[in-house]
Amino acid sequence: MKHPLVRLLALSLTLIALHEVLAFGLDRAELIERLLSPGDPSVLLVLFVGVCFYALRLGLFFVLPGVWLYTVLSVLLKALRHRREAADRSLHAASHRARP
Amino acid sequence: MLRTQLTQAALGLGCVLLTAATGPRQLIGRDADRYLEDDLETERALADSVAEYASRAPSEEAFHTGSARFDGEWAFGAALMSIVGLAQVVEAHPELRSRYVPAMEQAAEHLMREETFAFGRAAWGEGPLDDLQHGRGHAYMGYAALALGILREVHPETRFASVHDALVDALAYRLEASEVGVVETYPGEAYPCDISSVIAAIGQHARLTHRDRSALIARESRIFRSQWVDGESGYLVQSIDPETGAPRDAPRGSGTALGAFFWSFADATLSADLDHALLTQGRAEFVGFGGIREYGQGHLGVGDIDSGPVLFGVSVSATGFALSAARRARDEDAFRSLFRTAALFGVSVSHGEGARFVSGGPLGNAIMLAMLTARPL
Repeated sequence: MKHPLVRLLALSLTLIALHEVLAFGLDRAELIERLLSPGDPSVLLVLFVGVCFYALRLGLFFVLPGVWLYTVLSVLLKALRHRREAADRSLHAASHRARP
Repeated sequence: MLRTQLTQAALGLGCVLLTAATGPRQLIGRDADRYLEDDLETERALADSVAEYASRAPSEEAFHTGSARFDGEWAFGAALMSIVGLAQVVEAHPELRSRYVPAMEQAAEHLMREETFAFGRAAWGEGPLDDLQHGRGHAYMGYAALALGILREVHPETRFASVHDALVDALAYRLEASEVGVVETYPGEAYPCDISSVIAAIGQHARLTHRDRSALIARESRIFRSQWVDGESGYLVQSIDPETGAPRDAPRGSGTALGAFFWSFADATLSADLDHALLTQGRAEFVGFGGIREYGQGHLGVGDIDSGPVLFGVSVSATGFALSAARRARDEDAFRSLFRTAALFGVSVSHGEGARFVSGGPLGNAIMLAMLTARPL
């Protein structure tokens, strides 16, 4: 399994790319003009894509940075714990060897 | 095991809350300072998009809300806000005059087409230009008159100069003739925000043509302060009785913010007082993202077509229009926080050399240009 930071980087880049594609797509689709045209058959599709886009946008700016911070902290804490366990093990082994 | 999971969940939640409270304000709306500094590239990018919409000559067909009145009003609004915004950009960057005057002329052309006023004709039974000398009402023509005056400032040779003179004279006559200082928008309907546009047009025209209309403007200013500016919130009431001038609706942020913009053309002190009310009493902020409350203190409501959606008491229109209040008041913090909200939900995209807000469309982008480039008092 890949490193958690690599997985998160891949996910982040995918979401950012999707955000850009949807932003340009909605701009091309003339989001507001369509939403203001209740008779337009594509209005529900545009509305659905628009809601998904805004959910993604809010997630990207308000949640993803926190996920990054959490992941980095988790990786650091895990590395710290491994290092401490390794140190404990070597200390334990050394004391075992030193025992008469 | 459970304790570890709970600790991890708490850490995760803490991380998300911490970054949500501090991060997005750094990432979103970074163009705010460029607008505050009248950065040429930034303003030109949005102005190019607005000019492109204007040269498409947005017609009633661009909007299909299901209401002919709203469709017409919005097409009308898009044309006039395009003229206002582009003129402000030209004022800040005179070298762009030849770039935008054609689009402004085209927008004025559209604005003054007979078809554009179909919504007014439907309401009054006659067009706003049919009987300028003896007619009444049509306060919405204050917006058109102001736009023509602004075009005339930038482009004195415009062919709309004579109709501008006639329109402002007619509106001034109607205002003077009213004992309660009201010009109706539609029969039986009057709105202080629309009357503000009439006064703005008169004030701007007086400055342009060196006419003295100070007595009329001072009279209206007194009426506004004594009857239509709410004592508690400092907001303008949204709707009034055309016969008596008595308030009919609550004090509202959307009408106040647009009214403050109009008053900046006629009475800087009243405009500054309305700006102050918006930026102090009306301002709401959450993790660096600002908004303007739609209803004055002690009033509640769900908004309407004027305010746009109202979320947590904050309205889209009041927040967008108040950008100009923050610029006029040189309140940079307020401008930045309001702009962040506009950028978060507006979503700016670049196309070629231009840039525009995805959720703006022709009207929203024209309004944003006009508000983001409003001139300080």
